[in-house]
Amino acid sequence: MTEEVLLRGCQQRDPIAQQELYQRFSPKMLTVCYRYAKSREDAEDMLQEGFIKIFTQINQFEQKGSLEGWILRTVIHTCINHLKKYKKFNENVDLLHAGNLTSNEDYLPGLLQAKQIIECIRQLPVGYRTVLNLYAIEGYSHREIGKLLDIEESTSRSQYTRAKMMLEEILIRKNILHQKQEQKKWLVPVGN
Amino acid sequence: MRRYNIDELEELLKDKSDQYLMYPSDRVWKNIQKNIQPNQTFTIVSAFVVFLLAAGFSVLLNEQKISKYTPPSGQLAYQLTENNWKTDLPLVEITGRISNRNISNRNEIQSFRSAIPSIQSEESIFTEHPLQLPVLPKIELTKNLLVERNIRIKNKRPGFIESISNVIEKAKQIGKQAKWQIYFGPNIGYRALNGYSSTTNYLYNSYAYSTNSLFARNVKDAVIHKPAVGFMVGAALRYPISKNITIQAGLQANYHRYQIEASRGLPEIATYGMNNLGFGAYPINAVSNYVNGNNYTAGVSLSNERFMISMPIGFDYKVIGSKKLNFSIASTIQPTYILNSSAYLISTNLRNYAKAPNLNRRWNINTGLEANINFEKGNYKWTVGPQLRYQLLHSFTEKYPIKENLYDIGLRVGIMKTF
Repeated sequence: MTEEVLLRGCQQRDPIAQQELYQRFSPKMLTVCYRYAKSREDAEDMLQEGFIKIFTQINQFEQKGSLEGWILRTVIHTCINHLKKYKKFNENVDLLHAGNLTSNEDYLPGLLQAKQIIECIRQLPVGYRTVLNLYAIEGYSHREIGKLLDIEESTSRSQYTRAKMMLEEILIRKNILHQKQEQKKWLVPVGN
Repeated sequence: MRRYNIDELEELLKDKSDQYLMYPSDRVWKNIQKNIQPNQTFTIVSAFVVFLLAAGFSVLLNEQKISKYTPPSGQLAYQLTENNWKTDLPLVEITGRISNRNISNRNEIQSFRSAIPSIQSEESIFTEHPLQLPVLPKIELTKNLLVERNIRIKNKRPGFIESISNVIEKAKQIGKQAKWQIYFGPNIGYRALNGYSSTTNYLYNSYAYSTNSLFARNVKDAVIHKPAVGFMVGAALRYPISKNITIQAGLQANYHRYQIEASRGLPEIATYGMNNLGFGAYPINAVSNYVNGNNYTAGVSLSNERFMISMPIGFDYKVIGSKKLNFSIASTIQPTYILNSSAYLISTNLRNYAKAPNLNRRWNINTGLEANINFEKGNYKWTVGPQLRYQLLHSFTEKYPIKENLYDIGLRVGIMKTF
């Protein structure tokens, strides 16, 4: 089924087209939700809410961009709204706490690097990971993030900087990232 | 696995975020389906109602066409000329035998044959096989073919099945667009009362010159009544026929009441004189324990209650606003059946109150006027606004000379799924 046929079917509320659309995009969208959520259950709730919005508002899709892009934006907005209910995004997290963040999968070498990275992102505090997801992965600007999360643009910038530092630290510990030599020197305690 | 440099973090995130896919559990799709598919019961009921209406309308139109074009029974005459031969007219199947002796002119057979391309030979006219003839809009008796009395004419309605399927299809489409709204709300019930204690059009009992009727000729001035709180709940199927106009029909239940101030007294005979409607006027008597007016010692509030069900049919007109938030006015006409009535009627001498169930009207017509604020919140559309409902026919039969029209003013809250 081509995307155009799929779209027309969904606009006419054809159940077969709706299921096809869901099957085509739900795995990717669940991964997106998972990056924002605190658990898989939460991610599935977000996905469910997102797809209900997609199916009920699909007539509003103006075909200016790709269907996938529109679906992605709808899902992201749903995730943000979901998080907004429970969390404020302008909260700060002490960077010292970052060292305590651990992953249950540190000793599962067989896991794919991609999954490890997603898990690492999910270890970040909700405000940090939301800004990081939006800026570094989804490609939103800090101004757009500010509007989306009802925070200052500068707050978005600082949240991102801290989120990035925290994530780097986690990824280094997992041997996914490695530091440059000169940086390592800065981190070596005096006396060693 | 490739190890990334620390300054490649953003590149790493972008690269890896799309590589990993997760598959949702079955419950997610089931829940989505539940939410996006309209309620099956409502859809079936809606489609059925719409189908019945559409089918009825279609059949009615069809019957009118048939009656217009059905030739009279018995001897039939057709003028088959090239001028009135129209192949797009509905076909009529004629079975039977055309009598040779009734055809006066052999040339007529020739013209008949030439007019109907399917008839190849003269013999075929005299067979028992059905012939396909067009139904002519006008039957003339000039140049004709006579067909024997027992000719059976049967309208094949070649498009009937198609029209039924079209009706079904249309009903499905309407059913999809139509949405149910559930509404409810409290209201204040009251009544408009009118009637005079005149001796010219109805009878009086021995208490005709009671205190009230002496000084109050109009019943409005003789009774003390006050509004009371009732309730309304209903469901309406709404179908948009244009950007601003939505038609609606549904079922509504109303609990209406108001109160009357009276006093307890010794049992008396309350007489209800009747209007003379041309069949004679015979008063109705009832035992009454209540006297009109509150005497402050044995005062009691009588509650006149009615539980009624109605079928509001009307339209809603969007006056201003967007799809998300707008202001609309609505009007309905409501055929109403009074399921239960507990009403005290004042005797025609304006002295007593008693129940006289025989004087209650069972069927009535109400009209409703609404002013609504409509707004969308999530997946629901809310409607909030005042409603005025007025009963067009009197509560009691025409024989009872005192006229009562119920009305209520309420707050109507409606909710409708937007998908």
